[in-house]
Parts: sequence; C-alpha cells; structure tokens
Amino acid sequence: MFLGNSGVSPVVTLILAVCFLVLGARRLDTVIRLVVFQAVLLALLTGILGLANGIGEMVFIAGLTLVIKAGLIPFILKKVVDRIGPRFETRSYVNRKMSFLLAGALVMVAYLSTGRIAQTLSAPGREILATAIAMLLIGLLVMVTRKLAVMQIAGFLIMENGLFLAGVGTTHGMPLVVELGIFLDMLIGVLIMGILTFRIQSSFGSINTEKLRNLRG
Amino acid sequence: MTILLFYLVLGLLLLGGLFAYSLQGKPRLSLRVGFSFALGSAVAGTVLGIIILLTGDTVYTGAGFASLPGMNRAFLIDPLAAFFILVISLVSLAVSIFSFGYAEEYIGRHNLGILGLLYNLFLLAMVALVASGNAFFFLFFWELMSLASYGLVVYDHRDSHVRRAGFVYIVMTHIGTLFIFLAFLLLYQAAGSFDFEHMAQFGRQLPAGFKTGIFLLVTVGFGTKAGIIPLHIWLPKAHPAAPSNVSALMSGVMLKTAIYGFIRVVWDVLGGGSAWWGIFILSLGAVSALLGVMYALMQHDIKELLAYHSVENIGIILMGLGAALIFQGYGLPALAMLGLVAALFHVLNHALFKALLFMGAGAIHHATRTRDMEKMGGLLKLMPWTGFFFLVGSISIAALPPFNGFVSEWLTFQSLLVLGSAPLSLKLNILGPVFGAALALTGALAAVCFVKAFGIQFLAQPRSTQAAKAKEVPRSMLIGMGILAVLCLGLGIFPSSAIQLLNPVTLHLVGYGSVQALGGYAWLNPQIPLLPNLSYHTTIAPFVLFVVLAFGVLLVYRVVKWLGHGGTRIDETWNCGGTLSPKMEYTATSFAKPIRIIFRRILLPKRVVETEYALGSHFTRSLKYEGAVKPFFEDILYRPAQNVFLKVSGKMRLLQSGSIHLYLGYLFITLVILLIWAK
Repeated sequence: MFLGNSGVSPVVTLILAVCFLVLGARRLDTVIRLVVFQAVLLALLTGILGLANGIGEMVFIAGLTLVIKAGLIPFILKKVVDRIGPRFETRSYVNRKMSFLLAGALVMVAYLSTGRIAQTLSAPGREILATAIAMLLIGLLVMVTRKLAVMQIAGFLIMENGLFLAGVGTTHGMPLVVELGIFLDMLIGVLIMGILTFRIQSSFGSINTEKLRNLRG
Repeated sequence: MTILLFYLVLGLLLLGGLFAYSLQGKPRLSLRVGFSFALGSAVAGTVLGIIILLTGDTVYTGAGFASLPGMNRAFLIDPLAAFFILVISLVSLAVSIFSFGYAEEYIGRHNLGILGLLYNLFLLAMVALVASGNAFFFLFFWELMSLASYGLVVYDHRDSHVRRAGFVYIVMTHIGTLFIFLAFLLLYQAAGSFDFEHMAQFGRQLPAGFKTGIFLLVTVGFGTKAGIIPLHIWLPKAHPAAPSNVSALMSGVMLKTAIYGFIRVVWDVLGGGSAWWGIFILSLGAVSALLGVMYALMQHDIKELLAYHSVENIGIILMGLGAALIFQGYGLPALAMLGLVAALFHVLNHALFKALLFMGAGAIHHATRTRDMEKMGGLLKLMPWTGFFFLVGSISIAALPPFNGFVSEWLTFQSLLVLGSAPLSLKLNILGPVFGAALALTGALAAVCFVKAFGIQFLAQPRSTQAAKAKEVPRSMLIGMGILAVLCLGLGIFPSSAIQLLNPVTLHLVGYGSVQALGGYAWLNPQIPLLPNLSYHTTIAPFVLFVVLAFGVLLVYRVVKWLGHGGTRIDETWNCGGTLSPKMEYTATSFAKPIRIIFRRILLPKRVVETEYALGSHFTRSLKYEGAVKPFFEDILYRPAQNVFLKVSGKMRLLQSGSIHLYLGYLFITLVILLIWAK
C-alpha cells in the first residue's frame, strides 16, 4: 500500500522533533505555527495508518484532526495572542539549553518506562508508544517551565497530541464516539483557557502566570 | 391510600418551599403561603402516622426511577417510622401556626422567601429521612436536613456570633455524618444491599466484633446529632442562634431523628447486642442527663438554657434505651419493651414540651427583644397567656404530674429500677438503682432550673425598660403554643393513648406489644413476667392523680381563703423603710449560686469581682461581677484537637505556594517518578 508502515517512522520522528522546536521557540506566534505543524503531521500519520490497515474511521479522524487541531484551535490561540498585544517572547524559568537537556532526559525516561509494554507491540507501535509518552512529558515540561499562559495551552495541546498518538499507534484509535468526545472536550478546554488568559491579562495587566501567586490568601 | 397520603406530605412541603421562594418579592404573602403549606403537610402527616400506628401495617414504595444497584425500596414506612413521622408532624403543626406571627418580625429585614424554602425543605428532609427504606436515601435526606438546618441557623447572618455558631454546627454535624457513612458502608459490604429490610436479614448473623464496630460507629455518629456529652458543643451555640421557630423544630424534632437512626440500626438491623452495649449507652445517658442539667442551671440566656436541657433529655431517652439494650442482651424482650416504651414516649413528650418552651422563649424575645433572663421579670402580668403556656412547659420538663414529662420519666424509672430485681448479674442489680438515683437527681435539678427560668422571667418586677414595655404576642403564636400545652396535659392524664399507639412499634422491634404496660383506661400497670414464679408489677394512675391534685389545690385554696382575712389587701410589703426596686430582686445568677457551690468540682466556676472605691475602702462606687463556668469539654477536648489540626494545616501550607508552575511541577515530578518506578 501507499507508503505502508515503513512510512510511519519518519513522521513519528518529525512529530517528536516539533516538540523540541517548541522548546526552542522564542516567539509565541512561532509556537502556534509549530502546534499547527504538529497537528498536520499527526493527521498525516493517522491517515497513513488508516489507509495501510484499511480502517475508514481513522481516515475520518485524520480529517477531523486537521480541521480542529490545525484549524480551529490555532485560530483561537491566534486571537488570544493578537488581543494581548505585542509581547511575543516566550518567557521561561529555565534557559533553552537546559530545556533541551531536560527534554532529552525525558525521552530516555519514556523509552525506559515503555520497554516492557513495547515488547508486546508490533514494529511501528513500539516506537509510537515511546514517542507518545515522551510528548506527554515534554508537554508537561512546557507547562511547568514557561511563564506565559499561552504556553500552558500549548503544553496542554502537546500532551493531548501525545495521548492521541498513543491511542492511534497502539490500538488503531479509540472508538469514534470516544474520539469525538475527546475532540469536543479539548475544544471547550482551549476555549476556556483562552478566555481565562484574557481574564488574567485584564486583571494583572500581563499573562505572566507568576502573578497568580498574588491570589494566595 | 396511605402511600398517597405520604406523597401528599412530601409534595405539599416541596410546593410550599418553592412557592414561598418564588414569592420572595412579596414577603407577607410568601410567609403565609410557605407556612400554610407546611401546616397542611403537618396535618396530613399526623393523620398518616396515626393510621399506620393504629393498623400496624407497613407501607412501602419501590425504588423505581431512582434505582441503583442494591436498592429495592425507596421509602418504607413501618410503625417505627410512622411514630417518628407523627412526632415530627405534631410539632411542625404547632410550630407552623406559631410561625405566622413570629416570622413577621423578619419582614423587611431578611428574605422571607429563603426562610420559607429552607423551613419546608428542613421538614421535608426529616419526614423523608425517617421514611427512607434504604441507607442511601437515608444519608441523602440526612445531609439535606443538616444543610437546610444550617441555612436556618445562620438565617440571621449579619450577626458574627450567628455565623460562628453555624460554623461549629456544620463542622460537628459533618464529623458525625462521617461515622454514619462508615457504618452504613460496612453494613452494605456485609449485606450486599442498601435496603434496610435486606440488611436486617443479614445483620443479626454478623460476627460479634463486626456488630460492635457498627454499634460504636453509629453511637458516635448519631450521638453527635443528638448532642450527647461530650459531642454536644454545637447544641448550645446553634439553638440560640437560630430563629425560635427553627430552634423549636431543631430541638424538638431534629435531635429525635438521630434517636430514630440509632434505634433503626441497633434494633432493627443488628437486633440488639451484648449487655455491655446497654451499660455503655446507659452511662452515656446518665452523664449527659446530669451534666446537661447542671450546665443548664448556669445559663442565663433562656435559649441556651433550653439547649442544655435538650442535652439532658436526650440523656434520659438514652437511659431508657440503654436499659432496654441490657434486657435485650440478657434475652428478656418483655423488659426491653418497657425501656423502649419509656424512651420512645419520652421522645414524643420531649418534642412537645421542648418545642413549647422554645416557642415561649421566642414569644418572650418577640416581646422584649432580649434573651438575657437578667433583663426580664414581671412578664406574667404583661403576657399572661405566654406565661401560662411557659409554665405548662416548665412543669412538663420538670417531670411533675399531671403533665406528660412525668409519665415517661416514671416509665424510665421503672425500667431502671427493674434492673435491680431482674435476673441479671449482681453488678447490674446494684447499678440499676444507682442510675435511677442519677435520674432522680436530674429531675430535681431540672425542677430547680425551671423554677429559676419561670420565676426570674415572669415574676416580680421588670428588670429593664424593654421588659416593662412587653406586650402579649399575636394570636397565632398563642394558638401554636396552646396546641402543645393541651397535648402536654392530655398525654399526662391519658398516657394510655400514646402507649397504645406504640404497640406495633415495640411488637415489631422486640416482639412484645406495649399494651402490656397498660392497666386500663387511665392506668399504667406494667405486669411483666421475670421468672416463672416472679413477675414485675407496679401501678400508677395518672388520671386519678390529676383529679386528686385538682381537688387538693382547690381545697388548699379554699382553706387559705377561709383562714385568711378574705378580700384583697392593697399595701406595701415590709420593705425596710424604702421603696422596692428591681435592683433588690433575686437574679438568675444568685438563684443558681447554691447549686454552683455544691457542684463546684464539676462545674469549675470562676469569677472576677472589680470594685471601684469612692472614699477609702469603705465606700464603693461601683461593683462589677463577672462569673462563668469553665467550658470544660471545649478546653480539654476540642481546643487541643483544633490546635493539632491547625498546626498540621500550617505545615501543609508550605505546599500551597500559589504558583501554578509549582503545582504543575508536582504533577510532573510524580509522573516521572511513577514512570521510572513502574518500569
């Protein structure tokens, strides 16, 4: 078939690479573009797997991924960033070199921890699962280390992409109804987080989540 | 038919609450509508209770729409439940009428829609709770009852004392609920069902240790709500804080739902246990009764005084229950019946006279705007009806004939004294009369306390201008009090009517009907076989007592009149050459002083006297006296616990940095460690 399972490996690698690029990004709009790119890659991967295994639902989900993760959500994020103004630099607690090192360590943790489960999986699944866990951890790392609220949303999206990847790679996707539910959840989640970001901006004059510390009683 | 009546009771309360809330824009209308619906439901509930108790049937409904696994009965009204529905309905009948007049003082100050809503919900929760056929519904309505009553306690929320009282109440009630939850979950685990019917089948065969665990859990859980010492601390705070019609319901009825829960679990589900359970409950009851009445004597806020009397009366009820548990443990169900009848009858009686007294306190507050007894006095001339009803309540609670409190305490005495002659262990034979003596002391102190409460408030001269300007309260409030006063007298003269109603309850619980405790129309005549050749037998005739008393009083009155000059003299009393002023009157504090001195080792009173001198040390300008009783249980039990809790919370605060990144970091680190560990 078209590309087949052999075409999966480079796409997965690229998806993981995008995560590193997010850590290296200096500007918020770059991050949004990277999130779009990752979603496109994810849709591509789902499509390939769907065609290779002859599962129509997965192709449909690939289309949905494209519409929501690469279309609607970035649109919302873009709006948030535009409304907030010109402060585009991503601020962080740790510098970029350190971020890369930590992310590298997390990838190792991911491979280490999935070792036993991965043995029971077929060839592409093994790599996909490790990548998925790595994405989960890197997404969390982004949320922990970056100061601006938009980056927390980006980290959340990377985590969600990781979960999605794990589902697609190991079980050929969850049932369609569940998948639709997750998409809806995520859309609402991002919407709410976007609104919250506005509120943080209007209350504190900044979207730096460090300022939330002032709320403590 | 009866089940429709039950739905009518619930439906009226629900509608009443909703209508009252939706009419909050028109306070006067909202008040009328809310309490009218509650009144209608109370009438229906009274009829429902009496029908079921007379027929002895059990009515139930399937779980239907609300079905969960392990749940077949939504509501199940057996005679025990019906008896408590009757108690709730009788009290709410009178209190709802009282509220028409009483709640008017809130118009313009507070939202009456919310009062109507919470009041109806509170009643709804209590009726549904005792009618619940499964533990799940029971707990749901138990919580609804706690929350609704919390809302009512803090109704006057602008006062910081009220908010604090509400806080203590809700914390204590939730601690209690925790224990009840545990007990029911354990029972569910053992029986595999939430239905009480189902639990009862399994409950009797449970291992003894397990049963004891359940017993202890429900004792603490329901004990917190009932207010046994030392779990009583919320009671003297919450009752005074709530509006008086609500305190009447809380003290008269809500505490009884805890007694209901206790009987339901210990008798119906567990089928009684070993005799030491009974000794334990009996001791708890005796301690609560004695300390309750002693603390009550030291209070000068009328509602706080009444609240401590609730602790005392719950103690008396528990003494009856404890005696019954001992007999049950020794396999003497006929005697257990006597203790149960005493306890359940006292449940009804306490509900009636305590609600009456709280309404009286509410009426006095309505008229004088104060609850401090030291500022009252002379109210009898200004508010004769309120005074009369309060006197009826006082005599009832002091357990004097011919009122109802006497009869149920007499029955409690009998069940304690029979401990001395029944075929039990020697220790118990000795202990029984000792507990009887404790009950006697309680009764005597209660009488002292109500001489004080009535005397200081209603007799002599007014001690403040507010008291001097008091006026009799509106008619609806008097009718509410009057109904309960009549019931107090009626049940005191014809206790057979109540004992007849209790027949199916004890028949269901211990297998012996209560009519055996009856001799005839107006007699109480318990005749219970102990051994083949020995039976317990004692007699009293409340009706004859009443007639004799009435004639005695009349006779004394005539004789005094005949001996005296006849006619009324108007003259100054011997007054040391000065005019009498309220400052010369006995105060509530001084009246209670002998008791305070006799029991100083228990009460631990402290006093501060500040004197200000004008010229040398012989001429005082002013004297300031401050006396208080040491809040013993707060000091040794609750404050240390609170300190430990705060200290631990303070340590936990280190985790709460307020930084979103740190919180996410916790997640992150946990996740990484778990992943590595689970490898």
